[in-house]
Amino acid sequence: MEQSIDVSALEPPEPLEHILDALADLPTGDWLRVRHRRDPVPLYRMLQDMGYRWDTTCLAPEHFEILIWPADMPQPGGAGALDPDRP
Amino acid sequence: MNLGGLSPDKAPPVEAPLTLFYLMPFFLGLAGLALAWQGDQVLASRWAPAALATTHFLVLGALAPVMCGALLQMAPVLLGTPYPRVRLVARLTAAGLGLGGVLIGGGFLFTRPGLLLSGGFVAIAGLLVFLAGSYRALRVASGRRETLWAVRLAALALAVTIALGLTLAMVRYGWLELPQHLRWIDMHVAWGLAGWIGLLLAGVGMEIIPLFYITPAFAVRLKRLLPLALSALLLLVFGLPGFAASLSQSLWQGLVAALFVVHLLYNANALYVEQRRQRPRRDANLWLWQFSHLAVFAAFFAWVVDVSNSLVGILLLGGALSFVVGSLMKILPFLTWLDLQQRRVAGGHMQVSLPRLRALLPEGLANAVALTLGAAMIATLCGAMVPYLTIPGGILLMACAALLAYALARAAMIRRRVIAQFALPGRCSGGV
Repeated sequence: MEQSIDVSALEPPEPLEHILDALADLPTGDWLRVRHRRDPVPLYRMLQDMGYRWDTTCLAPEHFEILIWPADMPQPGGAGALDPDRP
Repeated sequence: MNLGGLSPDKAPPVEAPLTLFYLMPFFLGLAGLALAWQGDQVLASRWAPAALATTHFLVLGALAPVMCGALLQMAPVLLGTPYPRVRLVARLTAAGLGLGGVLIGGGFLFTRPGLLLSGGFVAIAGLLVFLAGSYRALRVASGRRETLWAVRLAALALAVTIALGLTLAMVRYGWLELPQHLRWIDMHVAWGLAGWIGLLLAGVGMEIIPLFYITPAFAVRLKRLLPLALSALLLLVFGLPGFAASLSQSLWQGLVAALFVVHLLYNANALYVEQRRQRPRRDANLWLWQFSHLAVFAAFFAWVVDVSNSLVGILLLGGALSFVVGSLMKILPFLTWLDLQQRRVAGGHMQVSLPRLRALLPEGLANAVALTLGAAMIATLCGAMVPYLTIPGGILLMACAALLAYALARAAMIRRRVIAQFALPGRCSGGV
């Protein structure tokens, strides 16, 4: 099931704090959709180390959506193949 | 890894910028001491030894290390290019600025040419190490073009400021003769203030103000215009000594007015976007940043009505100090927290809870730093009319330095304590 959070009005590094807190509370089999105003670059290395995959879409200037799911499960929604450059 | 134009994996270890940041409170304290001790001289003339000592304590010891440290940290992330041997560059730059700043300040204060010149060489050696690293890093950088040009040109302005400073030191002690000596001092001040300090603060400000306060982005046109316009004007400043004294003075006034206009444009825009921030709450950092924008307007006004050069200098230096201290209080908890978070995740220490951001730099402490700095500036400015007020101005600056030192030491202790917890198996307690 999808969980979602909006961190677009938070100042750095609060979005990171909130996303990591949300991932810690994520039930098994669920995934997280994040709305952010920037591409949360420092997050990605952490996600990689924590065993998650992600897919970021820029929907508009200052409107990014990041889909995060555990690496051992397929991409939620089956929306396309994973970027081969992604872990 | 290069994502969204940013390269987080190229960020240097947090110790590199912190090494440089730690110099700031020490030199703020020294500047406060000089102000409290010989404040009347500081305001009497910008050529007074105490004025020159205080200026160099602030510029070389307080502002430059934080600006260099911030560049070491931000240029690789924003512009996608790491500094080579970043820890060594940070240490050598900090050593050069630390020792050089003390010697130069002491040389001016006690009129010791030997101290001044040796300090000049030490500080220049440190800054040359930083510039060499900047050259290697910025030469191949490709991210965020407008910011990259602002940073490149600011680094170039630093090199020119250093060269002019060394030339002036040689003139001061009779090793070199220059026609229109005072004009060369003006050039040194213009390249240092409008070029190195002003351009770097504006270039970086146009990135970090929207980032931290969720404001609209600065206009791309302004980002492009600012470095180009400032560079063109500063190049024209070089031509001044070639004109007759009276004409040179008129041209100088015109160029200063133009440099002010470009900086006022940035500061007006900064105030505009800050008023449109999504987070309405004000904090100490925002007060300091807005204080710095308004200080540039006040300096322009003081220059137009021709009150005193010292007053203009205090406003411009105080404004720069205000922006840099405000930025430091944003960057310090951010970098500390990010470093801890990355260590926690990379080491698989998810059972260790981290201190919240506000615990790394409590709001009360940040407010106290901002209040003492603002009060120090106001008291020093009032010293132009009531000279003995420079004494409380200096004491307040020392108080600000002590509070800033405490804030830096406190964040470092918390960081060390949390890192120690990572080494302990099965610990689940928080960092503070």
